[in-house]
Amino acid sequence: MRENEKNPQPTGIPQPPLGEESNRKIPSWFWLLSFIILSVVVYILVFETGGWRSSVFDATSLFWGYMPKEKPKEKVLQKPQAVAADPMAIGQEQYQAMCAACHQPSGMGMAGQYPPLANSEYVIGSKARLAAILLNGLSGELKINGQNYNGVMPGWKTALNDEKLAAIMTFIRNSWGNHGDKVEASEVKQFREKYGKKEGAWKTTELSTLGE
Amino acid sequence: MSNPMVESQEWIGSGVSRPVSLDRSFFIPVIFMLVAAFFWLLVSMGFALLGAGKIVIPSLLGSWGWLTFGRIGLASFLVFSYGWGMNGGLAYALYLIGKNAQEPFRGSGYFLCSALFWNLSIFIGMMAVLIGEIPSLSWAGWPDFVLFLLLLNYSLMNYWIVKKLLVSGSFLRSLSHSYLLIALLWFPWAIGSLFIFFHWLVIRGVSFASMEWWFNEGFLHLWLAPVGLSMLYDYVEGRNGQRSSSFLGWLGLILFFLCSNFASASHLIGAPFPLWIVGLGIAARILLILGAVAIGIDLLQRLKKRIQANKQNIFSRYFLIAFYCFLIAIVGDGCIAMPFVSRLVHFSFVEIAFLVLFIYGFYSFVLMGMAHYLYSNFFRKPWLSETFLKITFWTNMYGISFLFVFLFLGGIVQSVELENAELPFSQVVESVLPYLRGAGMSATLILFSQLTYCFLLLLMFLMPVEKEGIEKNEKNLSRSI
Amino acid sequence: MIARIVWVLGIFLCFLFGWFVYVIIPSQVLDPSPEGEETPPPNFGLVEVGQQVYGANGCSGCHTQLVRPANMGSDIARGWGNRRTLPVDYYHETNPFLGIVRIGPDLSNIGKRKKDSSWFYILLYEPNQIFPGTIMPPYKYLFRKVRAEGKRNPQALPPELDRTLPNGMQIMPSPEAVALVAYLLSLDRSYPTQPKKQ
Ligand code: HEC
Ligand code: HEC
Repeated sequence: MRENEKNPQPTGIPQPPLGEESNRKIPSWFWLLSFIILSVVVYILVFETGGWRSSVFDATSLFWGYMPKEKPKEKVLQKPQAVAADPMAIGQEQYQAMCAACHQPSGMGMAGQYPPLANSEYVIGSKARLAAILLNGLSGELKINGQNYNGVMPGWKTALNDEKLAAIMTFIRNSWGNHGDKVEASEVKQFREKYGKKEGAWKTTELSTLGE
Repeated sequence: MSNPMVESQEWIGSGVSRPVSLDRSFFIPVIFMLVAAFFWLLVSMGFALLGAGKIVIPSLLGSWGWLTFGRIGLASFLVFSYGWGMNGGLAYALYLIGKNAQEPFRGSGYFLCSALFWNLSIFIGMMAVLIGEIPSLSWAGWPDFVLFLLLLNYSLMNYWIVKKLLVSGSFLRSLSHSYLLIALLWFPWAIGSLFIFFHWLVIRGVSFASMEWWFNEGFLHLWLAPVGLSMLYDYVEGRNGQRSSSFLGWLGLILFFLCSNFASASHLIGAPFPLWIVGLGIAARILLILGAVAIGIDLLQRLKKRIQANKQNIFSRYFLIAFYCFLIAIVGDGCIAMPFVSRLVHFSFVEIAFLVLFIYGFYSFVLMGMAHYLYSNFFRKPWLSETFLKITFWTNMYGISFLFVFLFLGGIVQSVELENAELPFSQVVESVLPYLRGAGMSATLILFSQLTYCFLLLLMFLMPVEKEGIEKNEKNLSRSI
Repeated sequence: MIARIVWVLGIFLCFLFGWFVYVIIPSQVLDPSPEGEETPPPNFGLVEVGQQVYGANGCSGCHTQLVRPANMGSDIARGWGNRRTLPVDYYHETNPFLGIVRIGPDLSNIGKRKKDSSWFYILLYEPNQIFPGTIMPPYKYLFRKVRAEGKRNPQALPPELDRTLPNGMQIMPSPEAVALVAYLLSLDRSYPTQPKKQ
């Protein structure tokens, strides 16, 4: 009875259709293998995924590769050092690293390409406007000290934290003959909240709306 | 069947004892795609050979930017997988549908047309890669407009096939149809989302890398593998659609399909990704072994049956080799994904070796078998030369085995030496070089094999059927067997 | 009919799920938020062009740009970096060249290891000069032979590199080569990263 249901072909064929009767034969080692593999998989998913947190990048468990621990102290040491130093010094250092390639160590920029920072109203003027420019960058036509510029400056909001930005601002506002007051990190924090959400660089036409 | 000639013609008659009755409206596009596939195969192997040559003599043709190593390597990969792999796979898809269709293929003309444009897009893409329009270095290496062209032509070609598959519902019963459906559905989805991301640059930073690997993995395991497996299952299911609800077969399908969606991240070990992404990838890849083993047991049982029933012939040889390559490649991939292994072999040639085994050994081999089967059915005449077929098979076989072995051993040497941080990198390069040369040689062997086959095909197309020729062949045969 | 729909829907759900986990989630969680970690300074000008040149010539077919942590490989021991690379390091790149295989050394920090641009020009023009018997291909097509007007240009390559060089000519890097080298020089991912603020 059963046989016929499964096998609609005329009986009398010596061979059953291919594959039919072989199906039931699942070798027992297959179940063993399944068990092993499944347990390994579950183990990995539960214990070796850093608690499924996106901020965990390293593990020194046996699974990922064991490492004798030694380092963690070094990192802690670096931060306080930076905080302790004088803002003008940090500012100069950061300026050399980040801005001098374009605006030149002299702060004079490059004729026709990069505007000067020395004696620029954007630098000595409103802090908020300067912060906005530095956070998001600037593009479009610009006239400074009688010269025209039309370039693109990238934004720095992801590259510099509040302290460093404040130090740079303090530095450029007080170098090369500029005189401006000091900028605090807390101020930059406020500006960042205000302007930092913007995507892309400011247009120069937008500048007049900034800084109030 | 009772014809003794067919029985004995292992190579020449190639076992087409029961020719499929495929309507001309199906057969013309199928053969068109197959011919295009072989054309691209030659192009790709040519590039691969040039690349191998450049490894031996780096300054070979070095004054031309468009033939620089990075570009031809990518072009070779892309042309191989889209030109050879997908053309062949789509030809097979059409054949599978046509085989069971009651009516002629009404969209035949459309299909041919879009197939033509599909190949044109591949050509455009290849040129774009050669002049340096390379968004990434993997299966997603096409520039965005080519992605769009590919998507468009693919959808035009496959709309009818997918509709047919869905309406008939045969994918619920037959494993071969089921696999095919997965492959056919995956491609437009993946390439479409890729196009959107490339064109509007939505994805950036490291997420780009994870997307890239997601696509690569999908291309291998959700396109090439299902199509290849579908061919194998089609072979074992036989002509009457002797489907069978084998538990292992379906378990394998589901496991394989599920895990393939997640296995990509195992390539990201050590890369700037959180542990959970990598861990998930590794877990999926290990589970993939189980899927492959389930498929393997099921297929092996049936393949054996099938071969017993039909005698060993040229297809069954191709299929058997492909089957073993598939198993080794997937199990190997799973093993090298384990962190304690991958800390050594990651980024080494070992990974490349398994990849090569997968695409050349598994996919190329099933496709060769299938193409041979389809051609045999198309020509309806004995193959002109048995020797050529033998040469094709054996050189291909040796080529791929040597290629794998050389890359694998070279990779092991490379990984072990890289682990020793005192050894300068130049030293490592030096000791790997002989293996790379060997691999290049093996690639030559494969190219040679394919050239022979294409030459034979050309002869078959050109030569009219000759009565005497056949008879002579038969005589030859009886001597040789 | 229902079985068919369920099956096809299942297929799509799986696609969607995998895609979500590996494409959408990383793009949401791995891009550092503006308040979070500090990113490296933005790339501009030559460096950005050079990055495209790097991609277009398939350098990443042989070179990787990622440093694995010490317990997952020998990268740090080899001096390819002083720490593992993190998502921030690639913040400004639309298409980071993490790479597939290491036929050549890792380049994540090449700008820190080698600071001399003429070294890079020679390497690109004739790698054999620097690594005898290497398999890195020469990139001669990135250079031009131009007539030397008056004095030798300081950027010009040493004339010994090309024996057949006619008198009065010099080998100059093309703009692409200049950009590429600027990009290579900018590759330095060894600055300390700060732990993410929570
Ligand atoms: C890629 C080169 C480049 C770098 C690096 C760069 N800038 Fe600029 N910067 C420009 C350009 C170009 C403009 C003019 C934009 C325009 O024309 O709209 C500009 C404009 C400015 C302005 C407003 C115009 C002016 O001269 O007062 C300020 C302020 C400024 N930059 C400060 C900085 C500071 C501070 C840094 C370092 C954190 C920096 N820039 C780094 C290119 C650069
Ligand atoms: C065929 C693969 C290959 C390609 C393609 C390739 N390289 Fe290399 N590269 C190498 C090898 C191998 C070395 C190591 C040489 C040695 O030690 O023998 C190397 C070394 C280097 C080095 C020196 C690294 C160090 O740590 O000293 C740099 C820089 C470099 N390559 C840059 C490039 C750039 C840029 C490109 C693209 C224009 C490129 N390479 C393309 C194989 C390649």
